[in-house]
Amino acid sequence: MAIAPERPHIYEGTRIPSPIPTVLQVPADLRSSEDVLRVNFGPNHPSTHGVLRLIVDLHGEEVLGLAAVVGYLHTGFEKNMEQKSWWKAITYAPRIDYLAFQNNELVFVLAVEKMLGLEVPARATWMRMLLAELNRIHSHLVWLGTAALELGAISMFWYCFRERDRILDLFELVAGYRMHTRYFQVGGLAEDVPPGFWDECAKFVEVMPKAVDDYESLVNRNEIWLERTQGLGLLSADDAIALGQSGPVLRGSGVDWDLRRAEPYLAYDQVDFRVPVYPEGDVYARYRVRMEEMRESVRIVDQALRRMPGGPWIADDRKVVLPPREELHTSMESLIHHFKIVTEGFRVPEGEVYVAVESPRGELGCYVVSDGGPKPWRVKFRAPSFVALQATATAMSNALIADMIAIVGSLDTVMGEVDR
Amino acid sequence: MVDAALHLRDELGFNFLSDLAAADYLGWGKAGVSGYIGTPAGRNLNEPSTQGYQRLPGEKPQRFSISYHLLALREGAPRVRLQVWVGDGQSVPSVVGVWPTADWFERETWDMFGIAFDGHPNLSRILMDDDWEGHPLRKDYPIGGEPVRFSGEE
Repeated sequence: MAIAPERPHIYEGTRIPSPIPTVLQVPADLRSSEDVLRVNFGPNHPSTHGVLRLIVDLHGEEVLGLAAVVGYLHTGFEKNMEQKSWWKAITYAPRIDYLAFQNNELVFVLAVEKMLGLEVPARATWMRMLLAELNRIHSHLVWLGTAALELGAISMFWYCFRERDRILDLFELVAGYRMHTRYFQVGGLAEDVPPGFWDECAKFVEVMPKAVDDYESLVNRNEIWLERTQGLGLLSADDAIALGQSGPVLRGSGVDWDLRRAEPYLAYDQVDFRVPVYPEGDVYARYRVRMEEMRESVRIVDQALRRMPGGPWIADDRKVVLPPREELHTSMESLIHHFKIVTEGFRVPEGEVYVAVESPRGELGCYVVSDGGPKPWRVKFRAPSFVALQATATAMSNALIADMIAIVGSLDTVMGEVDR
Repeated sequence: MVDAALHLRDELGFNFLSDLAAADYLGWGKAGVSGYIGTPAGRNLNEPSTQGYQRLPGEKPQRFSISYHLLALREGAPRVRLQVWVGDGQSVPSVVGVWPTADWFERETWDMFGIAFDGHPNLSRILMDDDWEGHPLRKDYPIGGEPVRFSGEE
């Protein structure tokens, strides 16, 4: 019978490499050694969640040096958004992070609404929260499925994608698209929620906790899973904060911080949910945080379903919001407003604003500058994945090459968002 | 600048750098929009008008702004924006020593806007190719494709 080796515990203080915080350098005494092998890992590698390139210096199986190279998926979203009117630019936001699309949409729409000083009806607020939480479950499911797949647990992938498909069905039902829904409109929602949605969503809320039980029974006590996640990719609380980590990575390092609770937006201050925190700071802690977040998200969805207010689903501001379709046949004013908004776009007062939400990956921020015209002057997304990848060098010290996959996977990066 | 950053971090507790965002204000206030704009003298295309803006936006002190969005991880989640104005060709002191997470943000700003950060340990391009010419998010960077080299061309 094998005796489990002593697993390293979370360290105190800081381990951020110097002088470059994001590059792990080979120790000076080994630099000229012929035993150190430089390996190029990626950019086209199935386990890098896109196109991430890691330059790794190996000493046997041990990772001595590491530098992450990004930018292979840069498509100039921010430049493109400057060329589009405000309401067309919303279409770009979800495509930046193709797993947490509705959260991206939400943060941009919230930023524009903050500049406009627009009051959003309660029904839209609650519906946005419901969809953002479904989206969080969706994103965590994809993470769990692929992260487990990379460590050899192929069946997990199929189970996760089974539930993910149910969520995509719900999105399709509500918005007509399975991904990149563009359902959030400045002022509220693009359409009212179709009546069939509530029953389907209630069925999902019933099924999902059992599915999470299933996942946990598959891997929680699985010796291989534990061996390959516990004590790996350590990140202390101080280092996590210094490196700007957020979301499950930060909470997996024992920092009790969630923007939904610390800085409540939408209706998060009116629902009951718990923020899971694990102090171990390893891959396993991040996994546990995400699993519990899925359960909490289901609870939020359940509360939103029960308490969904009625009434209008979009604000009644004719300078910003398209007039109702039926008015176009009878009202000259409505027709003019419709024409102006569609052709020229609405104008947003001059100013700059930074809005942040808790996306599945952490603090997702949006910095917007307006010059008072119909197009954004500057849009900048604070992408949590971009920041998460900066922690690779710190989390990778004393790791083996095989653990690198688990560690990079545990940071849950989406390369579309990293490179924008 | 670095002293201000250290003061914010150590005295006021803003230990979390959320975001570092630059903006280029070249042509600010001169952006034209489509549509008929009436002036008291009728329509005059050669005279600068407000182009349909209710008023022209206020002037900016320099071409570029860099905004450091800071957050304190405590009750109430206070946020602060530290804004620095830079002219073309000027550089800013790096804050990597204060918040290590600024490393990639500053590289991105260099890559996209060409604003150099003094004292950055590894200031190189991050999103574009290493041999890329120009800085794409500058307002004078052309949009609409890049020059294509054809085979047989000198």
